[in-house]
Amino acid sequence: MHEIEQHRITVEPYYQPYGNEIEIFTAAYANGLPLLLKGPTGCGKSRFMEYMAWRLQRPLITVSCHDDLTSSDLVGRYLIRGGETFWVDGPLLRAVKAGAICYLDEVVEARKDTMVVIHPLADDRRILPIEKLGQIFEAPPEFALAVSYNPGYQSVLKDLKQSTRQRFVALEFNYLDAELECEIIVRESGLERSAAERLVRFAGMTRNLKGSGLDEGASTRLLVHAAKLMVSGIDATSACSTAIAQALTDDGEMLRAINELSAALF
Amino acid sequence: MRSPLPLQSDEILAILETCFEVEYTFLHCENLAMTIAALKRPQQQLLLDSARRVAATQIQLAYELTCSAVARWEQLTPSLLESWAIHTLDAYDRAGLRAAMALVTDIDFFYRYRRQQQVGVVLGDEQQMLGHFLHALAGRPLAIAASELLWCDSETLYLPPVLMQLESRVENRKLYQAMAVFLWAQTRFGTFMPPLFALPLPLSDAFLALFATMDRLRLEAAIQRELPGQWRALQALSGSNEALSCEWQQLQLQLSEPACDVATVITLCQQHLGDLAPLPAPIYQGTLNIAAVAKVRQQRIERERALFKVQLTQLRESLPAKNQEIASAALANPQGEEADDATLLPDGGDWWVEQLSQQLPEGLKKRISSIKLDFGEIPPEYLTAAGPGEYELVERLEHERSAARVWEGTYHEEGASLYDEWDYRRQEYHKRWCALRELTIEPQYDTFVQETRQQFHHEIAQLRRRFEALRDENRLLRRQNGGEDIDIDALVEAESDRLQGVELSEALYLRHHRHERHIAVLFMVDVSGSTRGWINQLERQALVLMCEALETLGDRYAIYGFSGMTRQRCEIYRVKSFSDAYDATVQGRISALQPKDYTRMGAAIRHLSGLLQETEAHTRILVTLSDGRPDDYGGEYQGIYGIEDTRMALLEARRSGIHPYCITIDEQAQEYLPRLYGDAAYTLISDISQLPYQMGEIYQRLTR
Ligand SMILES: Nc1ncnc2c1ncn2[C@@H]1O[C@H](COP(=O)(O)OP(=O)(O)OP(=O)(O)O)[C@@H](O)[C@H]1O
Ligand SMILES: [Mg+2]
Repeated sequence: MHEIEQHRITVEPYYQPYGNEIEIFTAAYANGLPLLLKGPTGCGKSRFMEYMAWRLQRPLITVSCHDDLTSSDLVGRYLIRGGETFWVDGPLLRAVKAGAICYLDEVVEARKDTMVVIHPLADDRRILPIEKLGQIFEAPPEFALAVSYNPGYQSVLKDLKQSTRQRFVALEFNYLDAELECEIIVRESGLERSAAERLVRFAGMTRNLKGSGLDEGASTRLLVHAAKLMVSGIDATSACSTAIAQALTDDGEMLRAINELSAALF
Repeated sequence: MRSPLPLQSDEILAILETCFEVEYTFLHCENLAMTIAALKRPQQQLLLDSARRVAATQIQLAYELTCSAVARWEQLTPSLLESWAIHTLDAYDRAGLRAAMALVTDIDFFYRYRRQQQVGVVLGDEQQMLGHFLHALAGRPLAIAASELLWCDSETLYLPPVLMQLESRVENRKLYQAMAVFLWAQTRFGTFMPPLFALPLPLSDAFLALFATMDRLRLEAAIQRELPGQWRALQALSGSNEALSCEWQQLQLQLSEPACDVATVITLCQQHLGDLAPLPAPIYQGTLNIAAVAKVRQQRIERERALFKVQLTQLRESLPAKNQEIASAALANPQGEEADDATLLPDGGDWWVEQLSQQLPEGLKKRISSIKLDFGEIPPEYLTAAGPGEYELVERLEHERSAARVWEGTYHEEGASLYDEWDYRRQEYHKRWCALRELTIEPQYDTFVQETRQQFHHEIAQLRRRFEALRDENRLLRRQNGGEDIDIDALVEAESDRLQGVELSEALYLRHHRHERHIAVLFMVDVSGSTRGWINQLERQALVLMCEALETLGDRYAIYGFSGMTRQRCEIYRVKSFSDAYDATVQGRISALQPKDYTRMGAAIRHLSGLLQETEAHTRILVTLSDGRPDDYGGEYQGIYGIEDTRMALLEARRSGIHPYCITIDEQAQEYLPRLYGDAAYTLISDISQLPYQMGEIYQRLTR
């Protein structure tokens, strides 16, 4: 049962750093400190985790949090099969046992009582007590915990509790400078540079509208999507409309404005 | 089948007299009735219907329209009459009685108008889209206003109110966009830069015309570089296929250089003045009004300078002492020449701005980019400490900006949200029709809340107990197909089933079910004039009771009052937003909630639905507390119109997943509330003194 091996990343993922985040992560990892990645959607948080997991040679276990996620979903539960009861490890426990990196994506989405199970793992005890098993698992030095969080459009209700957030070393992510973002698009999609530059300018324009009709501007992810469509022969305006504009808003006038912007740019 | 007999002239007269309210208006209908009597019955019906329809809005207009229609009966078809009536009403809404009368009395004018309506595009319908578009391009919101003349004063883009010169609506829309982009380009690519204002005035027409052509060529080249798609659209609109003369081609090349700026254009212009005729202007080319631009620019420069200096000074003062030292060390005049020690050297200033640019507040950053648009850089003088004059100006500006001030002066739409309004007669929305402002009530710190608490302490305790029962509860669900734990009872049973050879159940788990209420409720309280006195007091008491009880329940709630007078002045009074705590301020605001004017409900519902929509919750409830039907000053919102708009607003709310509910004390509510809210979604409280008691009960029912 080398199931954990599936979570190893063998090929170097492409990651474009923006600052000293790699050093900070490495230092935090060496010191057994948990990490909080803040930043808008689609700006490279997940990609960064994959890259770090590859670099540190650790398996990466990712859990996407949602509001029905219970603590059993994280640590494990008893199951019955053929009249037999047996225990199944949850992703968090598996990560602890294997000394893997556990990444809880969109952690605010999880219910507050669920988050409490990570507390003892996220401070200097680094333990995972499991009541139902009557056992306490100690995390090996290789284990690391990272969570992500988008402070942008979360309501007050869904803010992270202080007792949670104060356990983490925080890394702030944002969209990269035009040149680097352009580089990402070219690398990820194979689109020619001049078109990629226009996509980045287009993104900049939509980001201007953040808070004035849009909750969020176009993310790097959306740009990569549009670029991929363009490489497959879709014309730029349709690619921007379907991959970007429609993803950003349902408002009719806003859609028109965004579509006109891409028509003007290309 | 034979058509029914024509109406007699006395029958027609009777209809017309009621329709035109002759009793008060003294309009003469006898001749009209006689002419109509000579027509066939269907035609009579048509005329009388349109008369009635228009009269519902404006009687004089209806009268004139009927006279005109009768006089031109030969030229009219039913559909033409129909569209005439609709357009007349439309003109009345948009531009008032005079404009509508012009349509009614002059049929040629109407024909033209109708064509405009068929292919024309109204600025009002494009404004929102253009606003987003320009904001995205410019990185800041740009103002758009209607004017027959196409021009830009460097702050506001003036666009024609209607465009119809092109053959289709689509093309006319494109034209709006092209015009807007052209004007934006003037600001973006530096037409309004100092060299333009350094020219000796007055400028000759010949110079202006030549400058306009040259600068256009420069701007088009810039647009071609930055927005190639838009440039192609401009080309398609410019229409002239004639090749440029050699000289112009030469010039165009020069003007297309990225380095070419307005100073170059002026030089070229001066060189060629007299020996080169300007080119015809394409339809999107705006006119230049340099004097007006200069004035606006001057005002802006003063304003921005003052704001910038004050902000910068404040920022510097807020710096930790250490940084202040570094800053002043760097900024101190190394030569020690200038006596005024507040003067900062430009070089040092740049350094300073750069050092701080990481931490500059957003407002200041924007200001810097705005100043750079005017000067291309931050003039050194701007980095000196703010003086008393500047503080004064800033204070005055702030004063002018405060929302309440705007109300005292002539009303304008700045800072207001615009909402569509439904016109049932036309089955169409009036776009951006109601201007609504959100105001915050000045709290009145008195004993109202305490007194209410005392008076109703019994009821409050009772409500609390009841609400307690509604609170989040955690339940353990047994015999689930999946769950956190094993259900031992189920397992034992399954085991015995298995021994008996019965098929095994799979429902062997326990699941913790967290029942989260996750409700957001917004109370929309009628504070129109009719609630004066007793009703208002009971409304406020009911609010106190609700707050006291809701605090135990933990539901998210907000309270807003609404009132207003005419579509230009709809008002929403914030008592408690979702994020406000129920504290002394909110209590003071409840106490201060006083009756105001009228009830234009549609806009209020649209605005508050928007607020509810922004709030995170599974269930969103909009509770209206009202004393009567929708109504507004001037009668246009009375009766069916107001009810239908309100109904539409509620439909919109429902479509977006909000549950509207109405609590009313209007005895006649049966007549219209079922149509507005549906049978099950309102309560009529016959004894108004029961309001505070019943509110809680209703709420409990609603959210269980
Ligand atoms: N710095 C980067 N280096 C390489 N690729 C990047 C980078 N930033 C973004 N991308 C591209 O954007 C895509 C989305 O990034 P990613 O999935 O990491 O976003 P995220 O921040 O995790 O978003 P979310 O919060 O929505 O989960 C990636 O698949 C990749 O193509
Ligand atoms: Mg992710």
